[in-house]
Amino acid sequence: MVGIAVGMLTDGQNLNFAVPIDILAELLSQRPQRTLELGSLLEEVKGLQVQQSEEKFSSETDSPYQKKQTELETLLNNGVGEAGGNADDLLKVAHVAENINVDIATVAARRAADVRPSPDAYLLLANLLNAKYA
Amino acid sequence: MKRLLIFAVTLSLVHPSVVAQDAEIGRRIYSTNAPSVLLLYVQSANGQYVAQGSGFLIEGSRIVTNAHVANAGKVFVELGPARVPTKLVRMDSKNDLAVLSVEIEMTVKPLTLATTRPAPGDLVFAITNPEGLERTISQGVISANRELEGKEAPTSLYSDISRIIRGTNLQSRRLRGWHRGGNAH
Repeated sequence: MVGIAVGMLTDGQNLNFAVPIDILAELLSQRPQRTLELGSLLEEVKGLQVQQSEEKFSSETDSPYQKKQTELETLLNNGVGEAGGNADDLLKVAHVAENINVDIATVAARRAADVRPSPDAYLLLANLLNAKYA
Repeated sequence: MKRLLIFAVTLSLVHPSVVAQDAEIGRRIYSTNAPSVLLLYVQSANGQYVAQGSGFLIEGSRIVTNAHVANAGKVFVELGPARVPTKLVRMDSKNDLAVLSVEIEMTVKPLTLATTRPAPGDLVFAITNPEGLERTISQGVISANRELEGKEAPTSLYSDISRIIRGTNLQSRRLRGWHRGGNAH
C-alpha cells in the first residue's frame, strides 16, 4: 500500500491525487487520542487556543503555531465525533470551532441542523458558509 | 490552479516497484489485496444511508478512509449481509485521512503499509468502490510526487496517479463523483 486517493481534477487529463502512505503512518504513530467527555474536550481546546495565541504565527507546518493548530483541529474533530447525534453538543462544537477551523465548524453546524432543524443551527451554518465563501 | 475535487476516495494503491505491465501482476495484486478493500456506508443523523465510500483494513481492525467520508455522518462497514458501525479513531483533515475502528474481529488480511515512497513512473493499481461498484481495480503510474500548497492541503505531498481509471469499463461514465473512498497499492 503506497497511498490513499483523495481526489481528481475535473479537467485533469486523468490525473488523480493520492496522499503518500507515510503521512498515514505518521498519523497512526501519534499518541492515542484520548476519549474525553465533550465538556473536558472543549475546555482543552480553549486551553490550547490560549497556548497557540502565545506562539508567533507561522504558516510553516513544523512551527509551534501550526502544531498547536493541528492539535486543535484533531480535538475538534474528536468533539464532532463525541457529539454524535446530539444537536446541542454539535452546536457547542461548532461555536468553539468557528474561529479555529471553519470547515470543522461547518460540519458540526450542518449535522446539528440535520439532527434538529432550528434557527440557531441554520443561522450559525449560514454565517459559517458566508465566512468560508464570501 | 484548477480546482481539486475531493471525493470520498479510499484509493488503494498497490505498488510494487515493478516495471513490467504484465496482467499477472494486476491479478496477483488484486487477489492479494482486494478482500481488504471495504465498502463503507455513511448514515445521516436521521438514519438514512446517504453516501458510500471505500476503506481498507490495516492492523488492529482499523479501517483507513478519507476524512470527508468520516465527516459525512456515522460510518458503517459492510461485512457480508451486515453493516457494522465504526468508531472514529484518528482524523487528519488537512490530508483528508481518517482512521476508524470496528469492534469485531476481522477475518480479512490487513494491508501492509509501504515503507518507501514510489517514484514517478512506478506502476500502481487502485482498488476502490466507485459508486458502490465493489473492488474495482484500475492501473496507472505515479505521474509525479509534488507538494501542493493551498487551503485544503497546505503542505501535503501528493502523488499524481495518472490513468488510474483508464482501462476500467467505467471510464466513459462521468468523472465527477467517481472513485469514492479508494486506496492505492
